[in-house]
Order: sequence, then structure tokens, then C-alpha cells
Amino acid sequence: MAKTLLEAVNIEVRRGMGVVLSNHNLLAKQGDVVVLEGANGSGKSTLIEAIARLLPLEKGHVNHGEMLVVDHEGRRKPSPLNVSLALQKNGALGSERVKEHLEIAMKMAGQSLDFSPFLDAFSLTHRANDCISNLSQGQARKVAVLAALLPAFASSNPSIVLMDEPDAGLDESSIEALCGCINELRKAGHCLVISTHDERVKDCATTKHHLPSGRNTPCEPQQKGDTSSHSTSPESPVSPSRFGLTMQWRTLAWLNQNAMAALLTLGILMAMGPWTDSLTELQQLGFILAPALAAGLCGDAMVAMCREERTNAWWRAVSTGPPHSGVLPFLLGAVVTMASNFALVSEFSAINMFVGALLTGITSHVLRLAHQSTERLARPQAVFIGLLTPVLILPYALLLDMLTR
Amino acid sequence: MEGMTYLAVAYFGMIVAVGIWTYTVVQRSRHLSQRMDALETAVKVYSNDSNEE
Amino acid sequence: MKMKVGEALLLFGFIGIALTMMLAFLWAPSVSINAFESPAAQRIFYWHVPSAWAAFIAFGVLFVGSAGWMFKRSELMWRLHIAGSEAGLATGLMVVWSGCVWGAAEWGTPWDWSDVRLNSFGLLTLLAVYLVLGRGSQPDGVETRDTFAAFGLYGFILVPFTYVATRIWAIRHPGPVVGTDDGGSLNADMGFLLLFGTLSFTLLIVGHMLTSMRITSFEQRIEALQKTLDGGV
Repeated sequence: MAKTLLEAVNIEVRRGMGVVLSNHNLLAKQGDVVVLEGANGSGKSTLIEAIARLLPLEKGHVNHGEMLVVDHEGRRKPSPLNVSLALQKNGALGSERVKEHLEIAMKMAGQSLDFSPFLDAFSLTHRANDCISNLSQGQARKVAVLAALLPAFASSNPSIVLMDEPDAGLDESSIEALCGCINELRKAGHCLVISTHDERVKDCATTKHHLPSGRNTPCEPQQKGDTSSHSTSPESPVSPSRFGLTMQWRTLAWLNQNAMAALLTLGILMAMGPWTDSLTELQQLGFILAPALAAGLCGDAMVAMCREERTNAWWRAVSTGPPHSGVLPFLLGAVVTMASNFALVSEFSAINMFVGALLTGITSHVLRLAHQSTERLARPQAVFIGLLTPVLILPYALLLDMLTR
Repeated sequence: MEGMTYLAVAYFGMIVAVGIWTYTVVQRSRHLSQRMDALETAVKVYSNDSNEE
Repeated sequence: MKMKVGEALLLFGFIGIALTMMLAFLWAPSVSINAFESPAAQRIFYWHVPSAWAAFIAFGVLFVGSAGWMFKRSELMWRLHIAGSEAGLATGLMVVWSGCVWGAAEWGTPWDWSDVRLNSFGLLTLLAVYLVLGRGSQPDGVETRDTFAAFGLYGFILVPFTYVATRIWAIRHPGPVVGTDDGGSLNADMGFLLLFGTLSFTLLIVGHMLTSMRITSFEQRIEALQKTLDGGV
């Protein structure tokens, strides 16, 4: 008997001032293709995002397999199953390469496979090593769709595949390839939940789930796909910090944002001439550490970068959290403090370097968390979060006081 | 006396600021109340018209 | 137009504050000229301490409103959150501003980054600025309310922290004058005026919060009426 892979029980989800889903139920078993039908604004995307643990529930809960993964009391647990998804936005940074993004998506399932036949089917072979920003909108959409399909192909265990309008912007042959993949995954025992307006994709359904009523209509899938075997190899998942470091290194966003702030601060201090000898120990340390604090106060460039195409949401759904810069701010703080120590008092101090590393690292990560806490807002860019940055000056003053006492 | 002048200026500034703020809040409340009444009348007129049709 | 309870409280509170200021200026006893750099400026505390009391009430209301919205999803609690943040902003600015006025006269500088209470209160006020401006920048909705209610809850940690700050880190900010084990350092007239000022500020802030809640309910009703008209026109 087919195992239940996905269950949404009496869920209520609010968006803006309205209740989008109320007392809604959804059940998907191994080999099910549930196609979500309904007019624009009926709650198809909301249902997919709720299942993917991206939206908080007002009532009810969602199970993946037999385990509760999100409920109305705020519990949010990692899924025991492999979950892959394609949101309406592509969930990939422009600086990622096609091949790289697909490999990351598969590694989240703990497996990898040779995906060149899939690139062929979607006419992306010649673009495999390109950055996603160089692709057309349709090509970028194909990459997003493949990032949802490939982890299930690579996984030996039953997977949940969630796709929100995967057909949007795809050409005829790619929709055909998509339908073939859907049928193949269905036969392999995975479950798929797809929101679509395309009749060809609807024909792949085993169940049509109507929104907002929640009525289910069983169907016989019309298209037959071949089941082919894919040789897979085990891989370890990519952590959000490793991905963040790779992107920071490639884009040099840290240089533009954090390092420049530190260099400008140091430059201003140096422009005032040799004046540090006349200062007290506390004042001297305050100026030595000022560039490290300035670097940290600029926050983590990954936060703004990952708002592109809702990359942060994609990572939250498939990994442990959104990407971040990991150890980079700590390293930057150490280097910047070493430079300011030399420039201002012509000395090397390992303790100051260590304190500078902690100062930049902790400041940057605290600000990242503050920024990320506003991600749910309709306009996160316009929320004045910078007003809260002075919260970090008091610990800085107390730190200086403690170190020089 | 210099200290008392300083204090007088500070007190005066603060009391004026609180006065302006209080006045603004009351005015806003009254303005919104009038606007709400006007809208309620408009909605009633509209629903009466719809019923007649 | 008929005066509402909130407006009446605002009026009485304002008159009380004006009276407190007048009495502080003309009637309150002077402090020892040896104990302070600027004895006249010490009278600012008849404003500073009652407004800090009012600020704690406002931030308490903010906390209750934030928690009420998060756990009960109550419209009334959301109105309390808005009223608390606006009142917290106004009273916070009063406290910080009067503190700066006194600091400039007594310390020779309006701000001291190493003073824990001054800074923690400044941060509390900044949080209120953030809540008021940030909320204004977003469309109303459950996402906006959840986010700002969460900040309101976290921010409340600063209230007890600020309260105990001068007891733990007595760097420059004067220690408490009431609620201490030795019965405080105020004489009877000073104590009376401080109490009168505290009552006046309490009336003003309660009046403000009632009016603010009324304004929010008007705004919500207006939005609903406009939606009705949108659907019909």
C-alpha cells in the first residue's frame, strides 16, 4: 500500500489582512501527482508555501511522512523526507552557475546524478557553465524547475516535489520534457504537488485539488512516461554558510560593503595625523577597533543578495536556513584590526586581532538576524531596521571599558 | 540666574512640544471621526441605491 | 463636538504637567549648591522622572499588546501595541531630551556612551521610533503585525534592564531617588511635586493611548468602508 508522504490537516493561513486558506486539508501519497486548480488569488501558491514550511499557520498542522514539520503553535522542524521545490520566483542567485545550482539542489537530497540528459531535454547543455544572470527568463525558469525535479530523481527514498507554476515561460518542448519528468517521478513513487494553469501539465494529475473549496477530483494520468534508471552517488548537503562564502568570494560583495567601510574609517583616522600618542589607553583601543566595528555595522551582504528571486525562501525550504557569510566577517575583522593596529600605533597585538575578529563577526551576524527577521514583510527594504544598529554601540563601549580596566 | 534661564528655556520648549503633540493627536482623532461619518453615509446611500435597483 | 474620555484625560494631564513645571520653577526647594555642578538644572528631574514613569507604562502596554497579538490574534491587542509604541516614542523622547538638557548642564556633555541607563533608555526610544516608522512603511497585514509584535516583545527586555542599570553600573547617571532601601533622598515638598508630576504624566499618557486606540479603530473602519465602496463603484 502506498505510504502517505504529505498531509496538511485543517490548516488556516493568513496573508495580509485576509484569510487565504481556511480549514484546508490535503493528502498526497507515494505516486500521487496533485495538481492545484483555481483562479488567481485562490491560494495555490499559499498552499505550496505552507506545505514547504515557508508560511506560519494560524491553525492546523502539516506532516511530512509521519512527522509533524510545522504547526500553528510555531513548531517548525526539518522534514524527514527529501523536499525539493520551484517557487514562482526562481530561488537562485544571478551569480550562481547553472551546473552549480543544480548540483547544490541535488546535494540537499544527499545524492547526485549525471544530469546531462536532463540538460539536453530542456535545451540547456550549452548554458551549463553560464551564470544564471546571463540566461533569458525562460531559461532561468527551466533551471528552477530542474532544481525541483533532479533531487527527486537522485533520491533513492520517496520525495516530495513542490512546483508553483513550473510551466510559466517554458517553450513547447520543455513543457513536454517537464510532463515526461513528472510521469517518471510518479512511477518511481515520489509525490508531486503542482500549481498550474497549463492543460498539458494538468493531464499528468492523479488528483485535481480545487481551491479554495478543497474539493478533490481523482483522475487517470493521460501521459505515459518511461521509467529509466539513473546511477546516483552519495553527496553531503551544502551548508548555507558554505554557499554564502562561495558567493561572497565570487561577487566580492564583502569588499564593496564591509571592507570599504573599514578602510574609509581607518583612512579618516589616519588623515588626522599622528595624534594617537596623546590618547588614553581606552581611547586608543577605541580607535584601533573602530574600523572593525564599522565593517560589522554594514551587516551581511548575503541578506540583500538573497532577496533576489526569493533565494532565501528556497534555501529555507530545502536547507537549514538562508545563506550567510559564516566565518568571513570574523576573518575580515582580524585583518582590519591588524591593519589599524599597525597604522595607528605601529604595533602588532594578537589580542586586539582576536577582539576585532569577534567584534566584526558578532556585529555582522546580529545585524543579519535583525534583517532576516523582517523578511516576511511586504516591503522589507523599507522597514528602517538601520535605526536599531545603535544597539551595538553600548556593548562596544562596555567591551572597551572591560579591556582597558 | 543663568541656570534658571537655561531651565526656563528647556521647560518652555518641552511644554510647547507636548502641547503641539497633544493638539495634533486630538485633531487627527476628530478629523478621522468626521471622515468615517462621511464614508458611512456614502456607503448607506450606495446600499440604498443598490436595493432600489 | 463632545469631548471623549481620552481627550479629557489628555487635557487634564497637560494642565497638570504645565502646573508641575510652574511649581518646579517657582516653588520647589533648591538643592545644595555643593552637590551639583548646576543646581538649577537639577529641577529638570520634575520632568525627567515622571516622564520615565510614563514611558515604562507605555512600554508595558506595548508588551501586553504585542503578546496579545502574537498569542490571541486580538484586534484590541493590536491597537494596544500601536498605542503603546506611539506613547513610548513620545515619552521616550521626553526622557532622553530632558536627560540631555540636564547632562549638558551637569556633566558638560549631553550624551555619555559609557552610561548604561542613558544608552539602554536611548535604545528603548529607538525601538519605539523603529516600530512607529517601520509600521508606517508597511501595508497592514498579519506579516507586518507579527514582525513588529515580535520586536515589541524582544524590546521589552530592555525595560527591566534599564530599571536596574543604575543599580548595577552606577557610572555617571544618578542612582534611584525613590524605591530605595533607605527611603530615598527627597524632602517632603520635592516628593509631593514629583508625585503630582507623575500623576499628570500618567493622565496624559493614558489619555494619549486611549485616543490613539480610537484613531486606529477609525482607520480600520475607514479602510473597511473604502473596501465596501471599492467593491461597489
